[in-house]
Amino acid sequence: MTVSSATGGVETRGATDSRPYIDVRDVGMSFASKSDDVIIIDGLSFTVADGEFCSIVGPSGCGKSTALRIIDGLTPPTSGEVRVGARTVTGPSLDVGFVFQQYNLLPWRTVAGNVALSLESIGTPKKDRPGKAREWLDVVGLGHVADYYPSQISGGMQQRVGLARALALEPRVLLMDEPFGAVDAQTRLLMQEQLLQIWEQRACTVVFVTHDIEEALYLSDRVLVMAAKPGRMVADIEVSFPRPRAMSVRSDPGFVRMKDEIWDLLHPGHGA
Amino acid sequence: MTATSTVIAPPSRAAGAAHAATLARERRRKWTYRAVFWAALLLAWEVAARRAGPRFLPTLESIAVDGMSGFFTNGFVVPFLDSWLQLFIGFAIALAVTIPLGVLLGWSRLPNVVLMPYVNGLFVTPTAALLPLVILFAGTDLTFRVVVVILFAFYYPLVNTATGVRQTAGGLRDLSSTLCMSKLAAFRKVVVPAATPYILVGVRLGLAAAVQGMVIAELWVLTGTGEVLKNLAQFRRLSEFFAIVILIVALALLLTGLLRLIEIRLARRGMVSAGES
Amino acid sequence: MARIVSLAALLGAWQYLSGRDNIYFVPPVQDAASSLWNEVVNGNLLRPALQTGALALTGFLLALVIGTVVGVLIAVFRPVSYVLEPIMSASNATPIAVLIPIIGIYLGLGFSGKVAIVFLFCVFAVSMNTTSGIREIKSGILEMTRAYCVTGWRRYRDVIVPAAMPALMAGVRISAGRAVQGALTAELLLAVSGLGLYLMNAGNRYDVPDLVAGTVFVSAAAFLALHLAGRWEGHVLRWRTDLKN
Repeated sequence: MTVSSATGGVETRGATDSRPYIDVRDVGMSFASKSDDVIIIDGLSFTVADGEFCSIVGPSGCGKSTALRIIDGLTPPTSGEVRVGARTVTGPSLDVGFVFQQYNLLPWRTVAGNVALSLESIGTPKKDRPGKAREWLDVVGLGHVADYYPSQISGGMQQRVGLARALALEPRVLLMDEPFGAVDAQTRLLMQEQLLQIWEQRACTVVFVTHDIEEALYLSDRVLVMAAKPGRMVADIEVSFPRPRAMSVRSDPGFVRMKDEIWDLLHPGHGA
Repeated sequence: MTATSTVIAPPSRAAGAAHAATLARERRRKWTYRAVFWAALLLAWEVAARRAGPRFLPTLESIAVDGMSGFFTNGFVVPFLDSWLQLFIGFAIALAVTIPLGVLLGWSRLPNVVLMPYVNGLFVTPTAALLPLVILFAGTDLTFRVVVVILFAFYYPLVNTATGVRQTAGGLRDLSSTLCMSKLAAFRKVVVPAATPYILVGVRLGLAAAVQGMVIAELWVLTGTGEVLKNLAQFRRLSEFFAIVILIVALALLLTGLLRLIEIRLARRGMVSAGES
Repeated sequence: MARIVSLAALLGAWQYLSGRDNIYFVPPVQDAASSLWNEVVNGNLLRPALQTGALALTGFLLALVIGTVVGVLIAVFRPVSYVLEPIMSASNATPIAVLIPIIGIYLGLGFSGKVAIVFLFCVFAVSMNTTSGIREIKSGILEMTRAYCVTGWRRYRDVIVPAAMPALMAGVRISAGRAVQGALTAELLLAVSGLGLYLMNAGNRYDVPDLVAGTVFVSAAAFLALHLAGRWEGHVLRWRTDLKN
């Protein structure tokens, strides 16, 4: 395990493949208020390798969600740039799937209809859409509620619909913004496990924003730690527990130690 | 609730305190647009009026000069004031009945179950259709006009008061029992302040409906301002007609605007105290 | 149960009043009821009702189309909102009825004049609800729309319009009531016709049972209009599971 300052650049990891797929270059984000400029993110740089599962943890207000939106192109940065694959990000693109904390399903469409929205965007022929939508729902284990409206299913299920909608783009990159933040604790554990299974089957690159250290460690190959005021990166931590990971990895002494260390990074001055 | 769905302002989506300069620029832009558009509209009216002639469309000048002076010299002031006086009598009676009744409806279930079908039934019934019936028992004098104003105005103050009280009544029963507060004290300290914004919206909507009721009642039995308007239109004295319409609308806007101002004041006070707690 | 008791009490009071000699304007319940039955069966009420209905529906549909377009323009284009919003907020407090005496000068006392009144009764509610419906679309939904590259025509067809639909349908429901209000107002005050004519004739004849029957009929017709609007709303918003009961 390596804990290193990463404000200046990127720590070259010892991992096997490290061809950068997402390249965040000196990104800054600020806005002018009445008195002075408020800096949300200051000089953020990191890369994510192809097929890597990378989490960003940090306290609220550290700009982690903003960073994710900048990577997707939903928010333009005030300085710096982001490259995804060969493309410089100027706006949202269909090779990136986004999973929102508040699901953001269309309440007037059925579960299958919500997944079909992605299929419409990537131009799947109309006659193939119901079948395809059903397939993606089966992937997240929701084939049986395809014809329900979002308001008729639980929050956890709604978020799995959100995941199916993102997967339906067949994206190279999956950006997830505290996706399980609004889900109860037990469901959250099950969903983490399911997410890992899905990710292991289709090698896409994931950037996962969360405030839950344990969640980040359990899921990721790498955890980026951010601090607030101004939002910046303070650590880039490699997580090398073997995959597939069982739930029991959480009680591994090494896992617990890493958890404490990240806790200390997030709360300097408060002993764990 | 349908009664207020058209008047609740959308939440401001301005991002924090940012962009103060941009906001100021936007405000200037807004008033420029308004000034240009309204000037163009008045100009178009003036051009149309000069082409169409005074028997079809009066010029702005004639409305402002002939119309307004006609209002004061041709004896229209008395029926005008008379109309508003009767409006206020009717509206005051309507409020005196509907606000206590609304409190009752919001507070307890049984009156609500029993009375709401009639309240809604009366609201749904086109009030104008009641005029021939009302005239039979109320005649064409003060009683008639007051009754019509009540029929037009009762719904919003009643239903909004009930809604406002109901919003707090449930939680209030728990609160008053936890704090060992007497029902009356709880009512005075919690229900009344909580329901006041709803009541004010109801009063404002009711007042607007009452003005409409006044006009319709007077056009139907031909008294007061209604009679004046009808006659002026018939004899194509349009500059005077428009002058009176402008006065009626201005007065209605002024009164509802005042009520709106009180609402905003209260809302602001509410926000401050909520922020402090 | 309580409702049945209260209805019985009301009818009882009505019957008692009708028996008093000095109150000529309250007919016995059975007279009003039989009058209502006869007038419906022999078509004396249904024929004018069709006329009134056509008037209300025309004005309503016109207001629906124009109100929606204006509401969308206000929500989408800032200059339009700057210019038109003062009119919209003033419309709440403006008594449309003051225009009745002069509408005849510009549009005549026929169908178009009356349609204009119905239209003015309805149009502001439609456009204001449309505007607020679009403005209050959750920012998360709009963000999702961008993230999933739902752009151009699809953005409106698949997101904006359905998202604004609840508010728009609330406007439709309010307007359905106002359309009947406006139609009756026009038929009594602008040019007597339809159900307005029926009521006025009954009143002039002092035929109180017919007058009460006509009033009850108008009320029922208004209920029907609102009910139909509610059914339409329920159908359009069938995804709103919270509205079902």
